[in-house]
Amino acid sequence: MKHIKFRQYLLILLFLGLLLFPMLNRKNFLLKDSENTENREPAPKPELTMKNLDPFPLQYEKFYNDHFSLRQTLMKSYYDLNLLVYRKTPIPDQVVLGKNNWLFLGGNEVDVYTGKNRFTNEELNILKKELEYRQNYLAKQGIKFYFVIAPVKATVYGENMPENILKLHEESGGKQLLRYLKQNSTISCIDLYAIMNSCKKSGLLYFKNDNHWTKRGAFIGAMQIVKTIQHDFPTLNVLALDSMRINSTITTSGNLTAMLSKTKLFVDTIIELTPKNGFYTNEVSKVGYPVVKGFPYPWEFEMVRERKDTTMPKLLLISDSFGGNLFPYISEPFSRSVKIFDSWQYKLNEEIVIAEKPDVVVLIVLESNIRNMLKYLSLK
Amino acid sequence: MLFSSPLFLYLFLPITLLGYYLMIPKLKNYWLLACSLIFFAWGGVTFTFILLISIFLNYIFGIVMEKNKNTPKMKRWLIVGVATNVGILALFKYTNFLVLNLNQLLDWIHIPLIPQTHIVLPIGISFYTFHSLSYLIDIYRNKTKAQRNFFDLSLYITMFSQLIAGPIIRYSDVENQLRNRTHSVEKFSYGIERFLIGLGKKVLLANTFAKIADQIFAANPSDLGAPLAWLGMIAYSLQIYCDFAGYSDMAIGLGRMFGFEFMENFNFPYIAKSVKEFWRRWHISLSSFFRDYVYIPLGGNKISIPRTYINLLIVFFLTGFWHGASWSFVVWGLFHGLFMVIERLGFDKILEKSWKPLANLYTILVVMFAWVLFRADTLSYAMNYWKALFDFSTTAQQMILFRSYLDKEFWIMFTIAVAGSLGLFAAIGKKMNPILESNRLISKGFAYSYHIVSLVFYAGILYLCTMFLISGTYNPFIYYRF
Repeated sequence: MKHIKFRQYLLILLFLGLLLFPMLNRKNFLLKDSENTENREPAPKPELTMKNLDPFPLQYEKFYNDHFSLRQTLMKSYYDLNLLVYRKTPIPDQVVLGKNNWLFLGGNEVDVYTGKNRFTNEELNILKKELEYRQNYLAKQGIKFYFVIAPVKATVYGENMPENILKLHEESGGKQLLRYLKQNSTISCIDLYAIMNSCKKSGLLYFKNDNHWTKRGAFIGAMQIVKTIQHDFPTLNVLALDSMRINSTITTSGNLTAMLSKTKLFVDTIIELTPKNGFYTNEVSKVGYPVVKGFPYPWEFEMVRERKDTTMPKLLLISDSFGGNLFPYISEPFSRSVKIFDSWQYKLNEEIVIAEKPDVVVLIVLESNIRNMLKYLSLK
Repeated sequence: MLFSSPLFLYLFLPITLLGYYLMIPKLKNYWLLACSLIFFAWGGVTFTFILLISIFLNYIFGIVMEKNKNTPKMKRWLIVGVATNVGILALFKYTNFLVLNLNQLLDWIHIPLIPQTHIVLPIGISFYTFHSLSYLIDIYRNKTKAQRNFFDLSLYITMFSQLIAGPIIRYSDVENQLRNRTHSVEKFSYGIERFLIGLGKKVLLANTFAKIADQIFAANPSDLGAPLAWLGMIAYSLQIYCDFAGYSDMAIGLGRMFGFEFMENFNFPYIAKSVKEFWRRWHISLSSFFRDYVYIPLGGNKISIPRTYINLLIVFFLTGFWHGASWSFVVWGLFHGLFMVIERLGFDKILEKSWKPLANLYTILVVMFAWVLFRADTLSYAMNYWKALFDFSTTAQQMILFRSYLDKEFWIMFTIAVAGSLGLFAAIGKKMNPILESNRLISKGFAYSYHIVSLVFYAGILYLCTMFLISGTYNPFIYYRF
């Protein structure tokens, strides 16, 4: 049969052509690959030596897979298939697809939400002692210390978490620590859970496509912190939300959509919040404190803002990426504010304290990173 | 190296194929042998030495046996050969298990324990040992002559298409093909079709069910409740079929591309109407190996009825033990053996007379319950899992989890897997072939359109599989551990 022969020849040609294509298309010679959205270094080419005969195959396979022709295009197709056809996340351990098109960061943040990574009594006690040590150390220098936990998105917007992620415990690890500190210590803790929950109906406090808080959420958090500090420093001024100009723009970007191969399927809102009369503070040049070794975002390690009125207290903020959106608002009432993003170590940073001589030190720890503090204790 | 890996698909396979077809006929076997050794070494360079020693010993045993043909010495050399092969297998596969169990006994009678061994299982040892055994026994039975060419014997044992996970090819079946096999466009294109169908079964179906089965079997059975436990058992039943039948399809397809014709290993086992029939359709190369090399030499069903039952239980004990050094595998084998005996006791007559779907349901239930033993790490886990299958006090949380597994992807893959395992697609293919081959019945346009659609279908499978593999989705091969 002629048509059967036609099919057989064509199948062989097609099969061999497809198998050979990645080899021929190395370095995008024939077809261009999509943009690389993987936030990691591809595996290096291993060397074949007598010493690494057994591990070589696995190393080479990793290298081959990471440099496979059209890798990004294929991954994007896989992600789109899952998101468009199956309506599910292709990387459930990293990105969780919630209700109403909300995306959540997987792993640690989900564990916080479910209550899986709550603290043992021993851990709570160590954290308490560490914070008390810092409070006493700073108090000796006349500095007031405040401890803040930034809630993860899932604890604020739990109603948008998928049904199949079940809570093991109603109280998350962050809330557990705050309760413990309130009951057992004199640490000035600032609870953002209640304010976030009461304000979330009036506007987006966290991005839908990103695990961070929006400028609105950051503003509300910042003002809650300033309100508490105001008890010790009455001259500080708390800004009202209606004194701010709000601008919104629609976007499909966000760190979670980036992890999903920059999909355009999820829409989000970027909220710009600026004082109607302009900021009192301006960003000024950095001091140049030494950056933590291996920190992937060295340009974010240090940020300084100052206002003309030098009579106001000075602030040192130790934080993580959540400090980025919050910093312009929290620094408004202070004469000089320094923000340090110390690679999620949340250390005391004594050298900076000594150099800056602040009146206030605020430590903001993202709920899912509290455990990092146990690794970098100042208390010996 | 996995068949379902980008490295195999897009580097090893095209180079092996191109090299093979560009090579002069005399060198084709050497090329295949070299590629097969690289393929094997990829799973552990050190293990390749064990494989080469095993081949060399079997080469010597074969020649010595033939030299002593029809003398008592031949039997003695066969015993030495079988003992050597089984000994190597036992050393690598069963020593850890033996020491563990012996220590439990020694501990009980308060005798100092033996230090626990941690011997690593070389890839494919269960399969290449059986290839070697079949070679020696077939020489002893005068079914074949000893292979004088060391490289041809090496190719039989190491041929990459069936080296790691079967099917178990008898030496007598491929002896002629080692030297005189033909190549054709028809064979090659059929090989591609079988290979891609197998790849799709593995990557698109088995891996999807594996994710569900692995999550459910990782839980404590007492936390599951009946719906989740049944879902886990069904998912695993589909996973193991799609995984192993897929691998066999790929092996048969690859063999065909290089001119070999291997026996079928699966014939829609889930449509069987008895356990006996199931074993005629599941892992055919293994069950026929045990039938011909263990059951029949033990006397089969020719001695007495009680002896037949004992022989059946021995065969199924060995089948279970061959799959893994664990009591749950042994009990899995004996569980099947028990139902074989029950059927022989007269239940098969009842099954024959009963409504066919009912007989099929009985078989499927026996097989699925047995898969729990196969999947469980320990016997006690399997027992608790069986209990969970009848725990109908399901909580709301369990129901939420259960529903979350039943998403669109599950239903699409479930429908395809069930229809495929019941033979629906094969039946459609069978009906289409005569229509396509008949000039009178259809127009040329229809025939060409049909072929174009099928080409798109096969290219689509390859694209989808590559997409899944590159995205690093779950990709374990169940039969790689045997």
